[in-house]
Amino acid sequence: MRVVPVHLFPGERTSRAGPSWSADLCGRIFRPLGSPAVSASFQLRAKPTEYTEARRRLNAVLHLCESCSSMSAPRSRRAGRVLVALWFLVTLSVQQTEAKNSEDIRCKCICPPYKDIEGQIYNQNVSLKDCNCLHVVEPMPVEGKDVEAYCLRCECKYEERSSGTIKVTIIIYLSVLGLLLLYMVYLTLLEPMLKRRLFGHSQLIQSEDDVGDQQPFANAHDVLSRSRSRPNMLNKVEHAQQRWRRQVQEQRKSVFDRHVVLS
Amino acid sequence: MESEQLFNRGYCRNSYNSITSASSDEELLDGAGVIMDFHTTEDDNLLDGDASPGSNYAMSNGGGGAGGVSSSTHLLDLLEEPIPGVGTYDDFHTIDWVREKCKDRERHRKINSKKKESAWEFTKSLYDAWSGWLVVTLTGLASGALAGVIDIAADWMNDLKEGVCLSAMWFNHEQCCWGSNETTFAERDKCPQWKTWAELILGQAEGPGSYIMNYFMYTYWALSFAFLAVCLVKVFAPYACGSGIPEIKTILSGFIIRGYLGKWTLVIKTITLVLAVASGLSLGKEGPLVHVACCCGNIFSYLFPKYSKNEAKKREVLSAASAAGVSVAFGAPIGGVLFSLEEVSYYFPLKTLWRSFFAALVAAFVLRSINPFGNSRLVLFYVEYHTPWYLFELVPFILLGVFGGLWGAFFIRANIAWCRRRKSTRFGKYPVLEVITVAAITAIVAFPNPYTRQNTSELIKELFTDCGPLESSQLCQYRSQMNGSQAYPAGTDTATPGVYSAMWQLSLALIFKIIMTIFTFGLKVPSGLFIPSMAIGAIAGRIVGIAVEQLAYYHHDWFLFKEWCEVGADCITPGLYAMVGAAACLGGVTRMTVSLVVIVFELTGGLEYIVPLMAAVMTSKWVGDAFGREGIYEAHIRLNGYPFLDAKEEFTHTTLAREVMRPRRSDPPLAVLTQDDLTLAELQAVISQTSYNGFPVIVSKESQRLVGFALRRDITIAIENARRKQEGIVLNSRVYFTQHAPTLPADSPRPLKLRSILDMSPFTVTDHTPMEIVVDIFRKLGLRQCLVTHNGRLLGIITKKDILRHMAQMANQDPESIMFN
Repeated sequence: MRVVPVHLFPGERTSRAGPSWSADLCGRIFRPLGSPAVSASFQLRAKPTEYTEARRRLNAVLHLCESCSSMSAPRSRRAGRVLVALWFLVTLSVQQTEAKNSEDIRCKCICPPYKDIEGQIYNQNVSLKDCNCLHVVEPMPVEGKDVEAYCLRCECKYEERSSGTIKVTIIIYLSVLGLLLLYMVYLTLLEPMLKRRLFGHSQLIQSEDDVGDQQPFANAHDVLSRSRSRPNMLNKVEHAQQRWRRQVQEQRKSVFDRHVVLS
Repeated sequence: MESEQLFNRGYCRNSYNSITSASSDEELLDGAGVIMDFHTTEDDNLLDGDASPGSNYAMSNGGGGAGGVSSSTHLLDLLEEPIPGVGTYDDFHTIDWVREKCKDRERHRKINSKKKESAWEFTKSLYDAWSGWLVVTLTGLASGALAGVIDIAADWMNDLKEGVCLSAMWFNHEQCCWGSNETTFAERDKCPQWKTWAELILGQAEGPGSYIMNYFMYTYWALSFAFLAVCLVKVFAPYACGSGIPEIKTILSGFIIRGYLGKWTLVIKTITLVLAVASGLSLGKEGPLVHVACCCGNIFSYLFPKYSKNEAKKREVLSAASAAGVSVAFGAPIGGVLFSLEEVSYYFPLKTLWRSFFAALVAAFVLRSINPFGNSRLVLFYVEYHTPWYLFELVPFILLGVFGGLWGAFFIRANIAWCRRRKSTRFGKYPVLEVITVAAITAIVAFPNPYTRQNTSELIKELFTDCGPLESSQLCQYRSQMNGSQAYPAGTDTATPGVYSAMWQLSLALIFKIIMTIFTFGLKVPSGLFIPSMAIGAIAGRIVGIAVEQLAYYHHDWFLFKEWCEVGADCITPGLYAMVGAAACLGGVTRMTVSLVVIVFELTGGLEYIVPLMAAVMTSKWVGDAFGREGIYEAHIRLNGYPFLDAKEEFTHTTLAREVMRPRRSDPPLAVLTQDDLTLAELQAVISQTSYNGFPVIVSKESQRLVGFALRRDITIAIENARRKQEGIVLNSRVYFTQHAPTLPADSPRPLKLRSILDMSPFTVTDHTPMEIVVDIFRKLGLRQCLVTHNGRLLGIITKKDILRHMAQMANQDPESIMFN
């Protein structure tokens, strides 16, 4: 079972040729979340340099801040792996202990109206071999010779469930949903506010202009730079996040604005 | 995004033609500056030869001379170090199946030849051989698990609209009352643990106040689920909306949509699918499950170099994944395999069939072991019938088929018209508002009617289930009276108000579903079409079934019923009618036949109902086809203008290749590259001045004889790579595609060899090839482009787009409006 989380989402090693490099970069975001962020912000506080330099740094830090303060996207992915693995484990263990858990089995007998007795539903925790009308229907509403006739009309069904799986599934689902919602709120509300406060309005416009990169050789740059290894963690984080952003923006444009796909 | 315009405009001017036809063969061949080994006689054959691959192959050797023979058996020159990124594709481009398959065979040969060298290489070859089965196993596991999560979460969230389980928050209504002994025969889902919102907030379960409270809470939850779903889709993964099957069909036919099967799409689609289903919108989770399974297949294929680096091989995995998706959606493994074969797959060799079979098996197994519904079945609406059907019932079954076909045709027309409106007018600018409006209308109208209030899957289950003495639903109330009437003298049966009111409610539900489904399919949330279509068919079928049953009951002395129906005995099974109606409606919308019958048959587990199902599905397909040949998925593909060359359509026009090829007579000449007399600056100028995606390489401008084909993306990558890695590449460097460098003056800069990116065996046809044949070649081989020659000279190019444009033109449609540009 331990193999599952490791291989569920492949790392950047295999990311080059495939069609889903969009999603891949978010995989790269979370790995270097440790010390570089902290040291960068320390540096920033320690030596205030001239404006452009500070601005460049700030930009970088902001991107980092974004990934550390609201780690829900990366964390949801990491959490995704862990949770999926956990879910598998729990499911397996639940399956094994299921037999012992008497809450999770039932034998339900539905008995239709008979003579002047109303229809009834009987429900008991009994094993499969005892799941018949004689064991489950208690108290028997009819007397002696009518029991057989009554029981012939009843239908008894043995059912199993695993309440553990249901519980874990719902909890995992809700936590992933919650993290995504938090990250969404951050991305749509908090981040623009933060950016505006730090840089004013011009930065926003500029960064949006960067998106359209239409030169014929830009693509080649992109492909080749992807294949090289990037030494600087900070750059990597920034780069990866920006690429993800750009891709989602591109998707949004083609789906919602231009209506070229999925309409 | 760039359009996929592979065509190169330009036309061989008459002067060129006259020059080349006048010049001798020696002159033609000598353009390369290398000594040619061809004899003139052979060359004549070559020049007059047809478009068979053999001649291309020989032609491509021409540039390299005799020394190039051994290396040119490879598609790409493998002697050199491969450039990273070459052979990949841009977003929204079409793959070249032939090239990809050749690449795979080449790779396979390499591994096989190394196998004997060491134990490590042998292990690697074993891993490679097994990777196909491994990846489908993983895909099956993941899609089964995700389907389980979606089923459980959607059930729970759906019941959250009504109330909550106080003893254990995570249980849905049914699970909440699982062990309760307080349930009664008439009200089976009432138990003290389950509290409706009115009970929780107002403290009373009955009365107008609590009804309004429940109504309000129902609408509130429906709206908030829909809002969350559309927001998540919009912020994180816009590609997660819709059903996904049209796009997957297009992707499997060889189109590339980056990010469509990525991780974010998977996560968001899984999460929002639950929200969308729970919001009560008229949509289902079956279609999106296919998309989810395909995302799993794509993600797992990254673990195996065999699949991650080859787009054609990856599509084999995706075919298997879509089978796994349907397998878990309907609990029908065989139906899933057939669905993949009949509906979504483009290239489906036997090996893929077996892998699909295996993936479907694994997925169904995982879902069964999760047991999401607690009924030991894979779907909620699994039913079992044992009653026989009679021959005269074929008439109502066929009538249901007619209804299904009519509904399908109407739905496709109406939905496409609405989607076109959304696509082309300002109205499409407000996706969030649209979703919320539709969700609000759905919730407000749906709540008063018990048949629309409940989950659509549950509605289908109730409609499929046959009435018996054990059933207590409103639909079966007449049954108990009729059963009771057995004891009394016949003829005293009274009108049964329960059934009549149920009929009214069902009719209203039918109208409501029909209208809402048209507006729902295409919203920017994950939305499938199977369940609403089936619900509409099931409602109609149940109504017809009850009508026939009543007819047989009141007129049991008719000659039709006399033979089969005895007084008081049940001879009509309304549940079966519901099932036949569901199959017919689904068939009318999707135009599936075999896979649909198998899916429905796997739902019922009764072999004896195959004939009614086949009759209804076939009728609905005929009726539907009479109004328009394409199913909903093809219609959406066409609406979006995806480059999808349907293998089912026939091409019957008598046009020739030269009429379709680019450049046209009035266009500028074809943009070509010569094999060894371009400088880097000239090459870059050609690339930046045009937007074509590939360039034919010819011997020289004078001879116009074809050497090969180079893709724009590969050229740009190779140039960029050479700039970085090789010394002395400047703008004046000569670029050559031949085996040996051309003889250059001593002071010239170092030349750049681009032979490794040249496809030396491009497909060619002559200009007089009928388009029927060209279209067939494109369909069967999955080509991306094809060069047109005349007497061995390059004349023009035909791309997949050109063919689609031409087909649209022939069908009297506007060719430009439907293309993906």
